[in-house]
Amino acid sequence: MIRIIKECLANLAKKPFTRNYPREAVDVPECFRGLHSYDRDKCIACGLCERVCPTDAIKVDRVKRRITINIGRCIFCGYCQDICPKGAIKLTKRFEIIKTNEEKNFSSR
Amino acid sequence: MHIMFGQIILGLIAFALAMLYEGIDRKIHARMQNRRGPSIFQPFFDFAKLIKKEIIIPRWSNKNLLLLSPIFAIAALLLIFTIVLTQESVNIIILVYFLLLSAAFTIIMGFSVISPFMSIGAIREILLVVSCEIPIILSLIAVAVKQSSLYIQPGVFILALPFSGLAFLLSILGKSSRTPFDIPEAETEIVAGYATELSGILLGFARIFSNLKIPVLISVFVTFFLGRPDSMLIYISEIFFLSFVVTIIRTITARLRIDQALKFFIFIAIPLAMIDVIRASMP
Amino acid sequence: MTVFPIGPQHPALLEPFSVKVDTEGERVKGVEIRLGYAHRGIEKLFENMNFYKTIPLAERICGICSGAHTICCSQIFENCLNLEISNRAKCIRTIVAELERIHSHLLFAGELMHIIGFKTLFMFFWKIREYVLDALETISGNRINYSMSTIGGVRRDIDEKISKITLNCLDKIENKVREYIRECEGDKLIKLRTEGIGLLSKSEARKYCCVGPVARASSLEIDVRKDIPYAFYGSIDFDIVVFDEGDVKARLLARLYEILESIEIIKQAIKNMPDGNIKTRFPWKLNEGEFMACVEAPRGELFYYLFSKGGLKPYRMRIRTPTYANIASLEVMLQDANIADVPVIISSIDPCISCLDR
Repeated sequence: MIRIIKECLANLAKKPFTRNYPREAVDVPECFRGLHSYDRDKCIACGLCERVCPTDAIKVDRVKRRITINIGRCIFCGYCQDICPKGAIKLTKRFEIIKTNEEKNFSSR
Repeated sequence: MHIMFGQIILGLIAFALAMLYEGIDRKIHARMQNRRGPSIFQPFFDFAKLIKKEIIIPRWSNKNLLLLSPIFAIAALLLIFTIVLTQESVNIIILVYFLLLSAAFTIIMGFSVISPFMSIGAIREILLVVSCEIPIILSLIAVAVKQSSLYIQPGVFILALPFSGLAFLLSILGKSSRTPFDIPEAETEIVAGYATELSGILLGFARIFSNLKIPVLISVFVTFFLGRPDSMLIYISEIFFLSFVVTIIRTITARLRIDQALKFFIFIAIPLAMIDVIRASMP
Repeated sequence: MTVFPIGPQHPALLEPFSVKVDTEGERVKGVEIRLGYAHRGIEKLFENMNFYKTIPLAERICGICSGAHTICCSQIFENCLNLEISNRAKCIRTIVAELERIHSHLLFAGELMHIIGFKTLFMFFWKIREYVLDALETISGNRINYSMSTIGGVRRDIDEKISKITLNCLDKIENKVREYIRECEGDKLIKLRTEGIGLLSKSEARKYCCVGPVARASSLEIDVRKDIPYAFYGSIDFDIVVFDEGDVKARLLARLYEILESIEIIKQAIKNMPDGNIKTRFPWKLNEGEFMACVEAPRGELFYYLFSKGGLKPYRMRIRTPTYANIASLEVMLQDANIADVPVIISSIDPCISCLDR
């Protein structure tokens, strides 16, 4: 019990361990899996990302050479990033993607 | 008219004291665990929110007992506070009676609804009250024997009766349900003990009652063992600062089982209080 | 005789399951356990998906032992496709699995302290756990559901910078864990609440087929990492932790000493990491037959069984989680216990109900 008393009294003098999140910024590491970034010039509309996605969240439009990602179904696993032959889809470090107004199906791009 | 006005003011001061005590207690508890903790005025916001909520009365319950017992429990404590703060000589039987009455209303609160959690909380409260009221009564008897009268007066008795003072402090922990003796309202075993089915303003009263016990019991200790100074400000700040010893003890200990707590009180606290009764009665 | 419900919603349980105890006064005379509140039909979902898409599904069966499920699922498909993965991938899988074991045991220790009312040690254990989660986030990108393992190897590499950050984190927590072990062994109040409670003898543990730290605390020496070595465990030198008493304190100490062993394993793995590539190509068609894979999750032995008829979709996948094996022993441990001890005993087997109900 003496150990606990010493540590508790020492803690009274230290700064708290809690991070005051919305008021101070939080940094994330390099390989964090956040929101996607899609480079339309590099995309060749091969359809590999649509085939490998575990939840069928990506739809490829072969005619217009464009993809649609349903963020409601996406689980941010990163399989599309691994399999894309040209590196057109990348997962960035953005994680604050909450919106305040209601949007049906919450799609992007 | 004057007396009623004075009582209302004293009641409001006691409520504010209890809520301020809870706020600072939670803040110190959190800082000792290296986290941030709620703001000091959080209990005030909680009480204001609870006033607006609806009181839900379960079907298998006694409505009158459920609605009235928290209020009577707080009333008993406020009476002790008033007597100890203002009177010059206090009848010891009245003091002991109202201390027991506040515990009795807690037990009635626990039995007013048929629910397994409340029943077990009330049974544990009975066992705990039986064992930790006796050291308090014995300590006050020691003071009474020292003064050779049943009407005890405030004075400095800690040097003459140190064992009784220690036994009194130990039983304050048990009577106010703080770790290691927070058995009747153990959160992780019986949800909330005797306060499980309360809602709305009754829950606010139950929380104020639980947090008012400590300043009131510490004020009894300060009055009869450390002496009552003339200035009311010094008196109230003495009570306030001594209450935080309970906070420190609550942070560094775990919770005991009811049979282990009973063994502690019967074999350690009661003999300590008995020593001083015998010592005080010898010439 | 009152029936006292430690029901689906209770502050002592992290996850929903129901234990109804028949009591006489404060003593327990009978136990009734009900499960199934978190059932999601995952084994049925396995039959409808292409096999390379099932790895994220297996990962999300449980939040605390998610790394073990991913490794087991990858291993069973590698057995099916007769694939041999590189040693570097095996080493990285070992590092992630051991870091997950550390974080799971720290979570258990904090939760047990919370239930006996010792809120201070609860906060201290979870504070150290934050360092481990930061290390996992640097390695894999996410604090839970790391998705590091895949069929054929691992998805991300561990370079110099990341291993230095991991070793830094391990140094920070090793001294603290030793200090808290001495506290748990010596403190009088913890001894009063955990010693001699929830006894499980060696013969009963064998009869009820217990696995994991519950069995190791009742002097059974079973551990998949030593009996059927997988990943990199064949070339690492470590001991398994066995206690003889079989009560709640023995289970707590068994897990805490396992944290120290895991720290040793990670240090050896980082020092001896072999070179090579981390992924292997695999054919996109399953072979026919029956296959199985076995892994030591933080709670015990995790077992996957696959029956496949060729093609792309697995015909039937059966998962046996470690809590499923341990939960029947509750009716032995709860006999003649106090009501105040029932939540302590229930949480000492470390139940993970989302694993159990799938």
